[in-house]
Amino acid sequence: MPYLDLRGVTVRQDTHEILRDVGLQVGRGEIVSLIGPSGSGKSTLLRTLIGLQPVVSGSLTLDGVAIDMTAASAPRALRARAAIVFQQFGLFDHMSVLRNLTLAPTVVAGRPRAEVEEAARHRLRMLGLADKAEIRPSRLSGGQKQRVAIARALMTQPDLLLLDEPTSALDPRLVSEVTALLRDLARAGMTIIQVSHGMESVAALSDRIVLLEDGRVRAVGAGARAAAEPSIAAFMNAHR
Amino acid sequence: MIAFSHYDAALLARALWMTVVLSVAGGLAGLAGGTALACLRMARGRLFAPLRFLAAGYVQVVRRVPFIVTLYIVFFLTGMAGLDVSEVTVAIWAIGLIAAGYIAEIVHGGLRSVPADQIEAAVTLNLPLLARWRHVIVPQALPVIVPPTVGYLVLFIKDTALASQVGVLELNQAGVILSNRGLPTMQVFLAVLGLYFALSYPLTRLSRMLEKRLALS
Repeated sequence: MPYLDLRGVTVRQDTHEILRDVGLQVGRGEIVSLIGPSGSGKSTLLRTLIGLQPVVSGSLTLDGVAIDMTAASAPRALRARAAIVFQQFGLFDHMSVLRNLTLAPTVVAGRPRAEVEEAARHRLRMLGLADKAEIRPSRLSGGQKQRVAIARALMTQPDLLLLDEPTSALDPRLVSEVTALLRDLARAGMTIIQVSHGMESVAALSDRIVLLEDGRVRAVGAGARAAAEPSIAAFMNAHR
Repeated sequence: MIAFSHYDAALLARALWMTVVLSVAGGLAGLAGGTALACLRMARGRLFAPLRFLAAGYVQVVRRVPFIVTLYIVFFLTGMAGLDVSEVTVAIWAIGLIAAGYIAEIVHGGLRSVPADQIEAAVTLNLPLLARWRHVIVPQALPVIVPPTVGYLVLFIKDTALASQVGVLELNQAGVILSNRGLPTMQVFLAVLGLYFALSYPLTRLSRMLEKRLALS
């Protein structure tokens, strides 16, 4: 049984269907890349998986637990297991980097602040940001913000990590750093789904590549030859 | 330079106190009403649609009506309704109604200035509604809301002079009384001017201080 089994998801905005009967099966610890032209529904699918996008129909089984995507309780159930890193990071600029990391664990999970701060400082050290704990995110570079956003997402101890364009704001050296970090996380059992336009990192990183077109899954490539699936290869070659 | 008698000084002091009461009570009522209206305008969902519409309509109407008109409407409506309320209460209600409209617009603008991605980030972190407001929305909206709100309240102190139209003895009215009593008009109103300035200047300083502090925090 796959770790994530999404079936029949349809998302409608006014009369336009942004996602049509989309399904996705992902194993635990897999890295999945969603690719496709602009407006194909990649980001909408990511937002659906974190409960930001109301769906018309669809069901999800996450680690054996069935979630009715149309139920009012679905967003909270999804966010208890998943975390997202937005393209623009969504860091809270009015609080320190450290507080960005400790806010959810202390307020939502009610964990003791001292314990959470220790864990957050450890996480920042691991990401080479130990000296940035007390400053505001607005003073960080794009790459640093990206890592803080990932660190904040990880503080909620998710087992599904969603990333919207994780490498778009980074220079090539930082791309390989973030890629290595995502690989480490996947090796530790975290399932990762990313939307990406960076075809090199998609090819290098993905266990599964999903090509979306016009709100539908056009092709899925899996395993070592994921990028060799003809439609996917054609799209990737055209967008390198 | 004239010397005010004890009686004149007492009259000015009473009028000054009344101006303070009108400004503070009307301002607080306006803050409470304006914040409530702004929150209603931000409420999501079809259920709140009529309330959103009413709140937006109220703000649009009230901001286009002169204070004196609102004051008369409240004065005559309370009379028609047979409510036994003092002129001071009428003036405070009128100030509160007008201030609520203006402050609602300021608060609404401040709340809307918080970027949508910040709110979505808070939502995806599973922060409950109240925690989102407390930790994410309010701290970012306050620096936008506070300076113009205080600035508006400073302006409003001057408008309380119109409360004399329904018989409230405030600073301006005290000036008229003293002037009618034969005291030199220029000096009397210079004294009134000084008292208005003494009331509003500290608020202006407070506004600047808050602006700096909120920008730093």
